[in-house]
Formats: sequence, structure tokens, C-alpha cells
Amino acid sequence: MTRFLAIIRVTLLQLIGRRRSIGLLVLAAVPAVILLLVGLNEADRETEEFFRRGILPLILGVTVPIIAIILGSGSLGDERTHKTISYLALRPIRREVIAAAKLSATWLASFLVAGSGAFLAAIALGITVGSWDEMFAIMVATAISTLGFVAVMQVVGYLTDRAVVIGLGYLLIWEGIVTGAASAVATTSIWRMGASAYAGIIAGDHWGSALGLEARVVADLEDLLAGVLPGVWGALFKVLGISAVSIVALGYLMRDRDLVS
Amino acid sequence: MATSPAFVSNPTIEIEEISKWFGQKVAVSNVSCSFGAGITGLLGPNGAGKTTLLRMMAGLIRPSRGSLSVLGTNPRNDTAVFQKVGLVPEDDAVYGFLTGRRFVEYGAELAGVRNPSSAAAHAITAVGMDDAAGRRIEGYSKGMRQRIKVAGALVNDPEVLYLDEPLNGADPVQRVRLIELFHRLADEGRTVVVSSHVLEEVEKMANRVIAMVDGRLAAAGDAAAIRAAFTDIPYRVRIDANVPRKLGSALLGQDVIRSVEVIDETIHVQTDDLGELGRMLPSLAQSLDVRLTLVQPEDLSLESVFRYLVHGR
Repeated sequence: MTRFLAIIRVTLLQLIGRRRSIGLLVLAAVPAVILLLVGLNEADRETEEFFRRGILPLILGVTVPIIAIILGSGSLGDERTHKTISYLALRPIRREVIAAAKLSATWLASFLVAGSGAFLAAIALGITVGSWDEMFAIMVATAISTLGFVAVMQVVGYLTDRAVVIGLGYLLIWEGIVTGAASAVATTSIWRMGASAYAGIIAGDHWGSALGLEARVVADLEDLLAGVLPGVWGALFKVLGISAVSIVALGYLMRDRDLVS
Repeated sequence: MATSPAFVSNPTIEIEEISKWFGQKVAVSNVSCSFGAGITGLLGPNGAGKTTLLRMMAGLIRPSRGSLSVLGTNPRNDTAVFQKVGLVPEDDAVYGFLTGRRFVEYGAELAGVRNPSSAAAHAITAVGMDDAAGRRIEGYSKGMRQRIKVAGALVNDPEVLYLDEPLNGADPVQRVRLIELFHRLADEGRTVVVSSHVLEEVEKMANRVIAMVDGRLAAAGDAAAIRAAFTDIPYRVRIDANVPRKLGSALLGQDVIRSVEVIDETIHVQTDDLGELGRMLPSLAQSLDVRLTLVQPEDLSLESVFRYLVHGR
């Protein structure tokens, strides 16, 4: 456990450099600023709709993944590029433990940044609409999406120096276009896993079931989900599954491939 | 196995027909050797394959062919062996955002050392970094970074220590101190493998040399033993005497001498048999009433040996 925590502590310091953090925090705050600007000039219902159809996809589908792409690809990728990986790998620690500790730290760092933005957006929603009870759902959705993206990007970052470019390409093509157009593969969309958790919590907290939702709210959520069923547990299991695969894959890669080039 | 100079008795590291290639480029080709207690220098010009071999021994990269064991186990398969291994990598790779002390403590924590703070303090003192240990590494000079890397490698009290160009950037005083430290570790029975392309460093540190050229093991042993293997290249010997031309002329007639040159009142001879020259020279000088002031082989140094290995001459 000491080793696990030691890796988490150093990785957090490694990922949250001052300059990089400021840049990512500014990015994370963009949706909140937009919501505030729009919400102050629109009626409550329009602002709520704008939040679900515009801001939530912006948080879960753009700012969260970009933050996760940048931090996730650097988690183990930077250790390889800067050749500090020998300090980690040439120690009596199972490779899977290294991968799990790195993933935990990177998720925590990404969530601190992306979660701050989501928190600000929830506050902006509260200020403009007066609804504060969606905050929990927004934060859970952000946490779930962040974990999924970080788990994927940690592997990509380990495999290639061009992880950020590949990550952005994946975000645009797969998450943005393919899964939005083809409902058959929408369930594989990581940002929609977060959206499904959000919808699941909203449905459970307010109306008992999705069927009881006000028609316009249902329409908002349907647009958000693109055919994915709402449900926080399903989303959580999916991202935990992705994380497990990521840990096993990295363990294998660190054992089977050269640690430095 | 220990009969060949590439092998030692009681090895801690055994390498058998190991090769490594990156795409079409062969970095290490069919090397077999072993390492034991004491300092062994891994010598070769840049690109000879030293770092690749060292990285394979450390478990950082996987051999394309062949096998190796460190303390009886394959480091790629058994991470427990890293409890007893330390590496100072060649690259200027450090966590610049950490203080020197924290960096060394981190190594101790990862190695599972019982008291990381005390182990780190001990290692930092050993490399003479107490005063700077509280500062961030990013502000260190290259020599200081090198020393903190050495401290990081020592913090788990390793039985096997790999040092890749360990004196890079260190000032002369620190070089002496580090070399003394490495000698002390070797005297304690640890296996210390030092990779370097700086002959002078290797000569000062290592009592045994593994020389690599173009990815192959070119020679092994101490410098004199390696030199003796070059039977086709005569030894060069410098002789200073009070009447050099008289002695030079007399030497020309001796069977053991291949050639004689007198340059600036100094005689340079080439001989195939150093021992015979040593036996014959005093009596010849006495018979000529010539006083010898210096007799010194000119190519028993590692530098000469290395030149022969790399260039043939």
C-alpha cells in the first residue's frame, strides 16, 4: 500500500504542473461561463434545455475528454518519453500495481480539474435556473466519463508519442461522429456512459423512473443519450471494466515490451 | 565456464548468447559473459552496444534472443529481484519537480525499504549531497543530478549495481569521491557494472573489463591480459638512457627487437616478447656502459588496448 500511495503522490505532482493546470482549469471553466452568459438572458426552461442539450455534452464530450487525453497520455507516456520509467519499473512492484496506481492518480488529477469545471457549471445552473439538485448527477457523470477516458488514454500514451493527436482523432471521429450516428455502437461511447449515469440519477431522484419525466425533459435526455439506456450502475460497471482492461493491458505491455526505446 | 576471461566463478549475472536488434539494426550480437563481485567495466565506443546490454541486464529491455539471469532469476519475469538491484541510468532522467531528498525517498518507498527517510539520508550522505538535498532537482547541475541518481540507486542497499556513465558531469573532486564509493561497494562484495566510453574512468574503477565493439564482445579480462591476446601486434616500449643512440644501435641487432626509433633522445622499440626484452636489456646496457633511466611499455594502457580493439592498430 505504501508503494501504491507513493506512486499516486508523485504522479499527482508530475501531472499537475502549475502552467498546465492553469490552462486546463481555464478550459474546464468554459462551459460554466457559456451557461452563465446564456442563462442570464434566457428563461429558466430554455436555460435548462440548453444545459442538457449543449452544456452537458460540452462538459462530458469535449472538456472532460480533452483533459483526460492530455493528462492520461502523459501518465505513463511521459515516464517512457523522459525515461524516468526505470525508477518505477526497476523496483519490486507488480506491473499491474504500477498501472493501477498510475490510473488512480491520473483519474484523481483529471477529476480535480474537470470536476472543478463541472462544479462551476452546476453552480452556474443553480444561479441561472435556481436548480441545485442536479449537482450530484453532474459530478458523478464527470467522474465516470473521466475514468473511462483516462483508462483508454493511459494505454495509448504508453504505446505512442502521438497519443494526444490520436486521442483527439478518436474523440472527434468515434465519440463525436460514429457513435452519434449509429445507435448500435452508441453504448461504447465513453462520454455517453457519463451521460447515462447523469440521466439515471436524474430519473431516480426526481421522478422515480424515466417514464415519469416531463416530456420535454425526456426529449432532452434522449438527445443526450442517443439510444443509450439511462443508468448509473451500468455506466459505472462499463468504465470499471475499461479500467480493468487498461490495467491488465499495461501490465502485459510493461512485462512484454521494452520499457525504454 | 570460468576458464574464459569473459566468465567469472560465482557469477551474480549470467548472460548466454544474448542478442538485441531494433528493426534492422543489430545493437548487441550473440554476447555471452558473466559478472561477479567487484567492479567490471563495460567498455566500448559510442554505439558499441554497452547501454543496450546494460539495459537488458537491468530488465529495461527484452533480449531478442538468448537468456540472462540476475541473482539466479530473469529480471523480466521476477520483479522481486529488484529488491537487490540498483541502476543509475545514462539519460538525464530525473523527476525535476521533486527535491533530491524526496526523489531518493521515493525510490526507497518503491523498493519497500523499512525506513525510507533514514535510508534516503544515508544514501544522500554517501554521495555528498546533504547540503542540496532539500532543493528541487530541476535546479541541480548535471553533476549533482548524477550524484542524486547514484543515491537513488543505493537507497535499497543493492547487491547488484548498474552504473551507466556514472561520472558524467561530475567535477574532479566528486569523481574521486564517487570512484572511492564504488570501490567501497565492490569491496563489500557487491557486483558493480560500470558502462563508460571514457577509458580513464574505467581504468580507475574496474579491475576487469568487458570490451564491446559493434555490438559484439571484443575482449574480456584486465587491460594487460587483453593486450596479450593481440599476438600479431608488437608491444611498444619507451626506453630512456644517458646515451640513447649507442643503446639504440645495439638494440637493432637483437632478435627480440622488431624495430628501433630514437626520437628526441628517447628510444622507442617494438618487440613481440616483453619478458625477453626485460631480461636482456639490463645486461646489454651494462655491457655498453649505458645507464637506463626509464623503461616503460607504451601500449599496455586501456587506451592502447581499446585502440587496437576498435581500429586494429
